[in-house]
Amino acid sequence: MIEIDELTKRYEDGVLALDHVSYSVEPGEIFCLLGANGAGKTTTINILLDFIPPTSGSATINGHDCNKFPLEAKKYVSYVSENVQLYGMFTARQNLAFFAELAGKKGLKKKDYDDVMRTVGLPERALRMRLKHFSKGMRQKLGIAIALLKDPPAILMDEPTSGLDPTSAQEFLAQLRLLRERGKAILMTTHDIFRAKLIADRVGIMKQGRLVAIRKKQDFKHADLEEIYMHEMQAAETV
Amino acid sequence: MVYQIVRKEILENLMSLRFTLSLLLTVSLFAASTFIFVDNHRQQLDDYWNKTNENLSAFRERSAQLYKLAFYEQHVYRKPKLLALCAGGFEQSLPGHFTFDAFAVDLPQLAGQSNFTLPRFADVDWAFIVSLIFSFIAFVFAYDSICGERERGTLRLILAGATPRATILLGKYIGLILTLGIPLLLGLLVSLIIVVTARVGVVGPAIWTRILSIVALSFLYLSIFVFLGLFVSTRTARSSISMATLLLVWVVLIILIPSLGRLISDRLQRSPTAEEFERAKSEAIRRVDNAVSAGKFGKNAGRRTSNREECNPPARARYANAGADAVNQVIERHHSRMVAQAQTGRYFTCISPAVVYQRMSEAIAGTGISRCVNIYQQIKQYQVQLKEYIRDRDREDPDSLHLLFDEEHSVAEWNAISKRPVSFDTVPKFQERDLALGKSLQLAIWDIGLLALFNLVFFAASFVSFLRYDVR
Repeated sequence: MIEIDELTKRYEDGVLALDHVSYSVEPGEIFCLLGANGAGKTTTINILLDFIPPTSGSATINGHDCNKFPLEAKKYVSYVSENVQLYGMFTARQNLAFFAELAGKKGLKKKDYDDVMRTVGLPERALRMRLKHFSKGMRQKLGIAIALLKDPPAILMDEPTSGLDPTSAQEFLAQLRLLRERGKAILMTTHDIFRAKLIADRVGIMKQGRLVAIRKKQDFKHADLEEIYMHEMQAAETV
Repeated sequence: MVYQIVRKEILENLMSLRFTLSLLLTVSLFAASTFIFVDNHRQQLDDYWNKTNENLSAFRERSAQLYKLAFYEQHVYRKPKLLALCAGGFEQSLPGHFTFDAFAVDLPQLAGQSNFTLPRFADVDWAFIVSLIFSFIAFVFAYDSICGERERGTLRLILAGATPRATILLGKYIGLILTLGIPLLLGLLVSLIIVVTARVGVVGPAIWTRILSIVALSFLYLSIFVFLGLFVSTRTARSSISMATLLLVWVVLIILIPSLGRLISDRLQRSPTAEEFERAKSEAIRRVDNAVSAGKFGKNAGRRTSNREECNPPARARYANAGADAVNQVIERHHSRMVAQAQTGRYFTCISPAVVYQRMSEAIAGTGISRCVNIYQQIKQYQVQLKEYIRDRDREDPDSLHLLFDEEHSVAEWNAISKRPVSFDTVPKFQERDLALGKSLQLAIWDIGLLALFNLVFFAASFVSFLRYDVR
């Protein structure tokens, strides 16, 4: 569903943000990208969303090149950011309706909104609340709700659990499992090794623009993922 | 998709404090300015009719003797216009009183000024409110349209969807224009209701057409500021920087450049002072006197006694008319330079949309400098008509010398023009004719074109800038 092939990005100031990175994310899979700040995780997301062009290589979503046919590619993807910021003066329902309609989902009924709120674990009364009264956890959940309403086959998440309290983070992971069950291909960048271990089907470890390792669930299910991560980072250092 | 963005923009703006404040400010400003206008207009109309009737009565008395019609100094006053509410065109600073007889038109008279240069402050009319207040409000709404959404993170979320950037920009533009349209149309409606209920004048179809044209063109003007606001918003990463930049742009475009108009016109196209004007007239008369000495107008042209047998009336008429023509030329030249002085400032400051909009509104409302020039030209045409009338009537009198010249004593003493009475109904009277709407639009066409050009430039700038906008 999400294909990254020899993706390279060198910024105008000469910084190499991505260096021939290749991997794919299949339907019903959660792929977590781990790495320090500046490793190239967000750059990958930015290229997939056509916010920046790649220097070479390609990124495709559902077979559509994100750089050449961005609007076509973006029909098949939703995006949940690190800090979901919506329109504070609007109610949750107005926010949901706006983004759903932008995604071409018209004529949604109250039941559809109630269902999606229940699915993401938000009370129905929250639909009538203005976003400025929402906590960060509630906003993240609403971000997922927006993604669910669009119902695309792929979802990109950029540090979605950052800043969430443990309860909210656990609830968030439950949402991710639900999305996986629904067959979504999820690419998630994170610093949170603990939660990556809990949720990921595969993890990609990035360092200074390079994908230094990809590990499957069975590789880290019974091992210490943090140890694997540190080991791979050191190995990359040696190379 | 455009519809969703437009709806979101309008809703977001309507719920904001800036909208409430803008609405209160503009509607109260429209109402206050209209109340003041209605009050002044009523007073001005009374004054106008009183003075015009006085002039007509005196003119009627002169019809007892044909020659007196030629020498009666008529007083024409600029009729207060209802459309001055839309664009007063610095009416207070322009000539409101014209005097002339059959031979000469004096310089238009102004209250407290020696010429009609642009004043430093305009009247608070619709054009003032739109050009000054609404341009600022447009910036207040547009400054964070793009960079504000980027700061809040919502732009990233919108652009993560399959919505083209052009659609987002178009939606924001339409949303902003419609948002601005609410206080504008509401303010205009309040203003019109006050005018109609006050019954200060008849608002006929011709006036409605002009009002609607001005309203439509006001949107064209505001559109420039929306595009400019969007452009600056796409060029900056932070909304505070965008607001500061737009504030600077607003001060330059709306305050500084229009204020330079007077300075530029004074420096580049200064019209002669009253002393220089008098000197030029004396010089012109001296040249004619020299020509008399040289015998150019015939024998005894310079001689004048009450007995016409002792003089040479035809030579004297040629001499007097040559003198009048020479003085008329000086006046005409001076008038042209006064007009040029007033207009030069505007030519040089038309890089400000506010100046262009003001000039265009005046042209459509039929006010401003163009109207004064138009009245002056109409008086000139009327003068020819009056002379023709006097000549025609004079021919019917066998006792008259049939010499029409600008020297009342001689004409009276020599019976150079008939002294018979004429029917006042047959005497042509001066009546100011308004320019037709087509002609007004023709006057405004360059300004409309300029406003369209500003729109095109800022649209292209904001479009290109937004396509390249770094949303990260």
